[in-house]
Amino acid sequence: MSWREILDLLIGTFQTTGLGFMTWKVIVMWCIGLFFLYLAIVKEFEPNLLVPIGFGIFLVNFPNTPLFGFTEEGHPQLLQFFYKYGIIWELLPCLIFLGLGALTDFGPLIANPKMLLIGAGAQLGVFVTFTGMILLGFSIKEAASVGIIGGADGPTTIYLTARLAPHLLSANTLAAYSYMSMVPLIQPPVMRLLTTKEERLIRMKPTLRHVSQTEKIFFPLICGGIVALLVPAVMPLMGMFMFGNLIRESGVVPRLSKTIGGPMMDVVTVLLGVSIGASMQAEVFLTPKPLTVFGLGLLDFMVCTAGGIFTVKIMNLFIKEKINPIIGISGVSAIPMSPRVAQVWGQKYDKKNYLLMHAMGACLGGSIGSPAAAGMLLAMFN
Amino acid sequence: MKRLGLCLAFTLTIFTLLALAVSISMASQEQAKEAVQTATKTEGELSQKAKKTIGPVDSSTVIPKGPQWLGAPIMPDGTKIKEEPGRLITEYNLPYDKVLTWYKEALQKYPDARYRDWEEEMYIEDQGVSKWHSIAIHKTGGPKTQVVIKKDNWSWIMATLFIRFTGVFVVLLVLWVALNIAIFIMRKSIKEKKTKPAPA
Repeated sequence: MSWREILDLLIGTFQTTGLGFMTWKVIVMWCIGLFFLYLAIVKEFEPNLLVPIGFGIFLVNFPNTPLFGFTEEGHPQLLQFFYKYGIIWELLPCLIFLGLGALTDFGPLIANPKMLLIGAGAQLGVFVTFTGMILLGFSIKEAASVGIIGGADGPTTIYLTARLAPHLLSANTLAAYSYMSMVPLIQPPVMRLLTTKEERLIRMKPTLRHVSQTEKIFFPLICGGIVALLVPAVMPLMGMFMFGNLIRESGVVPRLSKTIGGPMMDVVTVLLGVSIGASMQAEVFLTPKPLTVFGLGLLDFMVCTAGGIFTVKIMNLFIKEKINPIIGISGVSAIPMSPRVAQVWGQKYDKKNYLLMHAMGACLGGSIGSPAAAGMLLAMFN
Repeated sequence: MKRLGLCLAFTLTIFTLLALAVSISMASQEQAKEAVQTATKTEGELSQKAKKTIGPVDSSTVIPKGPQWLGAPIMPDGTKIKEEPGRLITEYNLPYDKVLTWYKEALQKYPDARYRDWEEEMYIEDQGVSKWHSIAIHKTGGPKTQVVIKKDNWSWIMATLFIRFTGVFVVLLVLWVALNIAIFIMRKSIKEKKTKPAPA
């Protein structure tokens, strides 16, 4: 073997490594990935999602890794496979909704159905951001997909973005889940700014009425039926949500309920998180559009929070039994973080005020409101 | 937890230093590497990357060469009836079908054009990033056809914003009413069942 051959072999081997293809963008993406891992592991913000997302970002941003491309035969590589069939084909968001349905107790909403209106009011940010995005030169479809971030509903954001603006998928999803995990930081300042001390002291009943099993069984049928009639575009999400809930509430298939809400949900969450993280490749993510999305997503989330508070204030003008406007912050569908924040802040002003169950009702209203808003936006393009 | 944070920071620093060192040493060979990288990429990989980076396009970049108004194609040989900052009206000595065929061909490569076949006109709406909002081709039924091109306008944006936000309220209001009725019926029937005396 000649020296030239040996040198050639060494260069060839070196070129198969990622070392030769390092760029500053790749390093920035590692930092972003590690930051999300830090948030998840150290700060414990949405760890179930941020661990796979953070690791996905970290993993896929190593040059020459055969993870998110295609093989020479044109077959998708591992993470590309998850991404294509799970996200682009909209399978994972719908399965997440199925699992969520199996985990959700709609009791607080059935006991106090007027909380649905708070969920509707909290969609204000979705539409305000939609306008802002158009003003910034984004297309209508992009504006719609970014607007939905404010609803704090990850699967709905993925579902809508995959349909309308797939090139913004990674930025939108990451923004949605990041802001969901930052609820305790984002919502309280908005709440303090928009409410007076007297309003925050409004005391609410500590418990809600008992909801019978029959009511709980009928809820997914009624809700599913109405949404199917009025906004059929979101039925893949809402249908699965209500199906999961019916499985739970029917009480006759406990094994299914346990599997859907447990192991299946865990598997889907891992696949969803790692696929989203993997889609954040440096050359796609580090461009002005995704960064604008990230900035506007925060504003969107704040306006949605404000929308919930304003709705409570308007409702208080007409109802006898006043609602504490802190509950308004739970109109976004960040379960259970947002109701928990409402409870903590409510007790900061009055230790005997128990807002948790009321806030849960508003939050469940939001979990129906944000797919409804997505349906309204989808209707524009059907 | 603090230790874990330190570990992460340490890992990050090591990777960053390593990457920077390698980047600097490899800078001179960048061109050659780029060629190798492109050669090793499969067609599928390249097309996937292209797909991911492509966002909406301006219609002016994809329509055939010729006269345009705010990026919207203008069919030649027409008479300009009116031109305002917000709209352009042109008339053609051609039947509706022929004008429509021309516009369909002109916008063939523009993915964000949406067609609405209304009774009195064919309404082509832009859902992309172009500066025009719509092209309306009037169905006169005669030998002359009028085409109105409108600029993007705030009235549409605000109206859609209002209608759709109200729409969310309507959906949840209907659900609220339906829930109230269903709950009322269920609670009443449950109470009645409870109060019904057992048969002797």
